[in-house]
Amino acid sequence: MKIDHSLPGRVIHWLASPRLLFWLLPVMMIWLIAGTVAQAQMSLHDALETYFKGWLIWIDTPFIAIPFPGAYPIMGLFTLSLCARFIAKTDWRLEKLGLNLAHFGVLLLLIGGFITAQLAKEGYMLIPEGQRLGFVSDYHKRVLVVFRGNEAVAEFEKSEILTADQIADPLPGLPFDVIPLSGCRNCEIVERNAADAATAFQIMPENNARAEAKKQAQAMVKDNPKRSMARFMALEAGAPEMEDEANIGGLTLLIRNAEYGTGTPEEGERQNGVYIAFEGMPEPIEIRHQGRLYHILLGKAQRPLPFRLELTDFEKTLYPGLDMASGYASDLVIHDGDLRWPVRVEMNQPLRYRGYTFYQSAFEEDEAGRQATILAVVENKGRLFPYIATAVIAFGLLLHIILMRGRSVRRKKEEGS
Amino acid sequence: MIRFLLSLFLFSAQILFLPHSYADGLSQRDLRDFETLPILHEGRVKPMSSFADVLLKRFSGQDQVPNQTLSSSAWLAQTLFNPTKATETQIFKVEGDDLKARLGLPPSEQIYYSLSEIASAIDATKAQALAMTSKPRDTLNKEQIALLNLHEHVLVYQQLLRALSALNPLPTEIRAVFDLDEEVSNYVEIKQAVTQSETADLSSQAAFLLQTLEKGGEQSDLFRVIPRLSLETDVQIPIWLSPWSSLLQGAPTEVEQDLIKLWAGLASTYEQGHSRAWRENLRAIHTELESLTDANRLEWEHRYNEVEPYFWSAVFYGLALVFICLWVAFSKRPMFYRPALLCFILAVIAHIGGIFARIAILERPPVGTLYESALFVGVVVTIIAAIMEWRRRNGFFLSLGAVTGALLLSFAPQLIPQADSKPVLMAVLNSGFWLGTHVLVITAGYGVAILAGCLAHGMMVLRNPEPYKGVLHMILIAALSLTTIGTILGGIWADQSWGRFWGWDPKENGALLIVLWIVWLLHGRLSGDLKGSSYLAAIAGLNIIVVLAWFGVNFLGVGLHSYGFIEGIGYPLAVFILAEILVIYGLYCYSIKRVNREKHP
Repeated sequence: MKIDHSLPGRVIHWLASPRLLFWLLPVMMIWLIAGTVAQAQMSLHDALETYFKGWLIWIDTPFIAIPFPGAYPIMGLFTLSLCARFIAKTDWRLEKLGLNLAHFGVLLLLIGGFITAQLAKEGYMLIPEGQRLGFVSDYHKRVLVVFRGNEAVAEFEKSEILTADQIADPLPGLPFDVIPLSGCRNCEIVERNAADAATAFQIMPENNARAEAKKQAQAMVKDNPKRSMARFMALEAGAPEMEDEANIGGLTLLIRNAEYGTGTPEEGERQNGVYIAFEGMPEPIEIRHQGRLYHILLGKAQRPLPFRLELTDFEKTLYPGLDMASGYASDLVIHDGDLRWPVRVEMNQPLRYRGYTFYQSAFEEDEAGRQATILAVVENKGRLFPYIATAVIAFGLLLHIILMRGRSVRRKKEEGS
Repeated sequence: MIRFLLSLFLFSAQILFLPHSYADGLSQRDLRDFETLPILHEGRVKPMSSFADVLLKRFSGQDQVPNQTLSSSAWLAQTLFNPTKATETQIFKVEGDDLKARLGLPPSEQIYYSLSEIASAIDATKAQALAMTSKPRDTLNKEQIALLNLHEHVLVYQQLLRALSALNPLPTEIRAVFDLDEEVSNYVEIKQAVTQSETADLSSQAAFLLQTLEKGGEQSDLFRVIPRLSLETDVQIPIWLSPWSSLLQGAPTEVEQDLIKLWAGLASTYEQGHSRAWRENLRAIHTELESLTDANRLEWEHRYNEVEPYFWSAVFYGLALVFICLWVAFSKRPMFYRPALLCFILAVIAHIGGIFARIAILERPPVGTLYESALFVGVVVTIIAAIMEWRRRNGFFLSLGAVTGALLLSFAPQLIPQADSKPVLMAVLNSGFWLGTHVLVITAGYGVAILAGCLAHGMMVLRNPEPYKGVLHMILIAALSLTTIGTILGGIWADQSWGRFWGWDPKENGALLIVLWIVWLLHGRLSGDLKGSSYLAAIAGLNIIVVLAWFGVNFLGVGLHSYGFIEGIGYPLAVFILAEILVIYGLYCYSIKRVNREKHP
């Protein structure tokens, strides 16, 4: 093969060299081991976000933290190397066909992985028996939603409203002031110490808020009356759970300039003050402003589905004499316009409908024995890539073995003769 | 045909390796039909001998009563039918002076204790144990875990002691007072008779005794030997109940009533030592249960337990190794090679036979637990080694196969707790298709990778490794193919079950690590950065990578594959890795020296 001596040619040649891969692979293996071990030490979501996304990671050692390339440079270089190999170094002889196919399959896998990482959306649906649901809850994203009546008038992502720029400033687009003061990723709801009202509220602005914004937020807590549940409870930051979806997110908010409208100014003023909002709160924050009723609540972000799913029956089969399930299945009905379509989702047998895939993930049962199914929901345009890539890699490797064997037999025959 | 061969294998093996076990005057012949009685335990119907094995191993770590010749089945019979004597049998393992001190036991070399020896200590530490049950297990120290385990074992054992107390609950003298017929034997009938009796004082005493028994019996659902068929459906899959549950739930069916009488008869004949009547009762129970259980499968499982194919396989691997060493020591005389080859072949046959027996018994593909993966990896290595040895007949692959087989079969049961309890699988694993594809392929990949690693070890020792380079390359490519395809199949399974092909789960990462290591080896060879001894040393390191991927990730205890979590694996894993690094380094230095000597004689 002719070697192109121009700069691009030399770069491609270098990228395609097995020596690059020889030095890149140990780096990849160290990164893989570090990311795997980290999953035992931090929450799984954090480990994935830190080690398997991003440009740089810091590997903690007993003495110092060592900077190390992250997923993007490692996988990026690996993919480029593979592409360069096809451009510059592929031996197109028949005896190398198997190997080339296998490499091509790996490239397909990487491309599919990239598409999935960018485009896939995951979530879950918790559907009690006999009920219908038309939205998917996100595993990780928490949002603060303001409703006017039944209409959602504003939605703010929790991680974005606790930045240095937003803390102690009113959220945009609302008829009264809603000011985020602090938040916690996994909150413990503790009894508020009446004797020490001001300091009972811990200010824990995430994402390294500026010092003055922090001070401002602290002052706002101290100077304003506590309302609703905030009169009796405070939010304290607890250690994050291993499963991010088990974390109970919370916010401390200051509501200001809410005018009752139909009531006296004093009634209006009695609404203004410091509130707490957390996931699973029994009742949302309720504010009357100019005669309209608003609700404010914090929860997991939801994505609407173009259809609804109704759980008609959840079946849990136990092993005889054991409290361990041998299988789960959900009998569902798809309500899509006028269509009523009964379907069944079981372990290892998902439902695919209109670009969504529903997997039997888990279930819940309350003390009264009422069951609810938990379906994992995935929307992934790159779903077929792994299947195609698998077939190509498997075929390529098998072909390589057959061709190698044939070559070996031919060589032995030649040596014999 | 397969069933015939399996039966022949197990039957022949049993003839060769008949154990002895005696209990309270019963012989092995007497216990035979007892051992194959069906019982529902841990989610499946199994023979009594399996039930006995699992429990005795759990309590004592042994497969027969320590310091006695009592088999597990004989011990179980004694526990059920002679509970007073059974409480004196030393079966509970208590190790460590700290634990003994906590239990108030004197420091001594004694390891095994009877229930009567530790009963007061168990009572005294009950509150502590109860408090520990609410804490996560990984926050407890070794001593606390040992205490908790002991309490759990004693609870289970007490259930066993009470298992048949419903069948003849009153002492003979009290029965005489109430003039009870022999026919009136079980708890429900006796309670009825006693409460209707005119002897008021004794009625109330007997009623109190019965009430105490009933309280204990309510918790007794371990010994599930009475099948209850639903009268409402045509589906003849029974629900298995304990004798207490059957009586307390009321309205037992005719089959249940007959079985309860037969079990009562069994208890009585055991007590009286009437072997012939005992055996007749057992045969009658088998006849009652004939249409409700798969008697062949129970028989196979019992014979599998008796024959212990993996124990003998390990023994034959060891013998093969001994003969090969003698063959090398004595200038390669055929008189040592032939027995080595024979022992190796017998070992492989026993190993394969064991695998097929498990498939027949558990009615699923052979790899569902970590222990089973160790068995399967071993058989993959030894089968390939056997094929290679057959072609070359030079003892090299025989040695590799024998060492690997012996090590895996010897260490797996030690490292993996309750290794051979044949548990049922979690719902997500309950897929014959994926167990038969992904799990088998990836496990075979581990096996072939280990063979490549072992071959590289051996080649570093040989004076002339050249003839093996071609086969090493083939084995490495085969390992890469199997681990890559297995990993990808795992991803497809994950996509079907969990909704994503790849989630950077520890087990997935471990499998990827093996693939990356092999790819690194091949590219290192291609680029010239790995050659000769360094290439062999790097391939030898594959053993460490495979063990990390296979066991190490389970040590983390996180991720969707964490159902294989093993306590206490960290230390042996660390020792193995350190030892392997030292061995590989030593072999590498030796290989380099040898090459240099040849280059510059």
